[in-house]
Amino acid sequence: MENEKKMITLKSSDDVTFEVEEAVVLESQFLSHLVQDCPAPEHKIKEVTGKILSKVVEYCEKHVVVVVDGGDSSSSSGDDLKKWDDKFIKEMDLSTVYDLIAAANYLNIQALLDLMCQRVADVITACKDHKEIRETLGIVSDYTAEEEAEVLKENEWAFD
Amino acid sequence: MEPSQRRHLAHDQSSPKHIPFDLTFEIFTRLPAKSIIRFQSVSKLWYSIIHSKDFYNSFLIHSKTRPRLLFTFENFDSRKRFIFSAPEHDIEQNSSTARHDMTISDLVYYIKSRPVNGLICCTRDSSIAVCNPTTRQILKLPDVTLNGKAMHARLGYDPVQDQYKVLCVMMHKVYTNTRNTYEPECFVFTLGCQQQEWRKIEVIGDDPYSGFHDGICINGAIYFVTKHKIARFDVRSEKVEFINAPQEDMFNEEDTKKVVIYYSSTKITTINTFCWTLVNHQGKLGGIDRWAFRLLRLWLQEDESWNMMKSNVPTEWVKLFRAKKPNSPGEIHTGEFIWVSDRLDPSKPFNVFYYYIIRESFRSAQVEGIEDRGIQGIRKHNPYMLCFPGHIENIMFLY
Repeated sequence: MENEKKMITLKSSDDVTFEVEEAVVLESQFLSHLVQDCPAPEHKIKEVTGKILSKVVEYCEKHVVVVVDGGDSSSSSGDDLKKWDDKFIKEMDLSTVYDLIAAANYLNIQALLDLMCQRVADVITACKDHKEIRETLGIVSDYTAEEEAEVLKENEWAFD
Repeated sequence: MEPSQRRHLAHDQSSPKHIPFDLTFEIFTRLPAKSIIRFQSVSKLWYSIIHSKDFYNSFLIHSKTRPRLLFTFENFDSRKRFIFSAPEHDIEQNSSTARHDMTISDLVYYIKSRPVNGLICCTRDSSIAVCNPTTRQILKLPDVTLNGKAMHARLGYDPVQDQYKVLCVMMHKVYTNTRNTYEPECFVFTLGCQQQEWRKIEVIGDDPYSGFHDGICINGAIYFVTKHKIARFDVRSEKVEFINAPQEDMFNEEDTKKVVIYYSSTKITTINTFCWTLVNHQGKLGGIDRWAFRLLRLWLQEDESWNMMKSNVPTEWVKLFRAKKPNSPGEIHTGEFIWVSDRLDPSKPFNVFYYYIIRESFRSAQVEGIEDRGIQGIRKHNPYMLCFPGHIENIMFLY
């Protein structure tokens, strides 16, 4: 049947499988090359866990351009999509965000990479000083007290 | 750390929170410049990323997508120079808010030319400095010896070798029986170079630099206007060549009348370059007439010849233009030319005008936040203000 959607199975590193429409897969540059080059029904993605792949699939399914019967293409309207994106990232902890950044980079999904990097940038920007960043991101400073004081003194103005 | 192990922004390996190291640029380039400066103190790794050349190059690429208007004025009472900047207005936008970027207080430098990749060349007597308002650094270059000579300095950038150089032209007035001439001397200073000195370069042409005026850096060349010609200094080869200015007889008599009405002389063959501002029009050298308020003309240099675009100023704007006498320092990202008055009225938001030459459409917009900063004595003088479009934040550290 002409209108029947082609389905593709993605398998995560820990063998969780996801059955998705081909259009969803095409959101990823990496996967679209993969399905074109080797038209197997199932593709194993060794770099991404099931937990993260489910997020990637969720994102791509939302963002895919839906081709309706009449042949017109439409996608969720810009505002709705933005609201959805906001909710999508808010529910996520930072460590998931990092994993998603790595996955989006590997699978080459630019919009998802942008969204996730912006999320981390917003978290960093919201921190009032270096101490809060260290706490939020779990960084242990390797500055000695003197070194830190010196760097702080040089850039005192940026803290007002 | 084992070589196979990836480095992470979070050093604590037991923590699940790792930013993949290769992607830190992706994240850091999205931070506001001030946050980046502030977060140098997080760790040595963050400091070294922020100070790396690769990082400031990526940041610059990002910055170019969010150009700003730079404003600068001097306050005589406090002997300070203030630098503000605000985002360039988008097509539908009629207001933006400026923020204070930097105050130069130790020695009040003059700023005469537009920023180059966010860096500004400033001069005062025999002192030349390069300033980066984004990092609030000012790098004083070695003093030059004036001996009564007039001095002009302009900053240039060579994208091929990724080098910033300052061109310094000094002119000594020579009186002879028949005429007064200028004997120029040219010097070049390379930023970040081991030799912290001015190198003298060859001067070509007869009386070439008299009436030194304006200055813009486009694609690795500094252009400036002299009395009759336009000079082009190639930043990489450090050679100066001269370009003929466009001729008035290139266009019809009717248009000439509209323009010439504002000149003292009606017989003009070469465009009066003093009425010009050099502009960067989509990467090409251009010039716009400043005083011809009924007719706006944009000259563009293409394949060694000049093309002109002209446009009648709508009648309702002619009056306003004559009253406010705005100058155009160039175009913003929308392709519109910005027109600004050179006086800051500190009691009001600052007005800017945008003109889109192709559609002959005008609009006005406001910049808030420069007024009412509590700058002492600012209300008394209506300071002389310069505005430059296309300013980009650069987090290159000058020292």
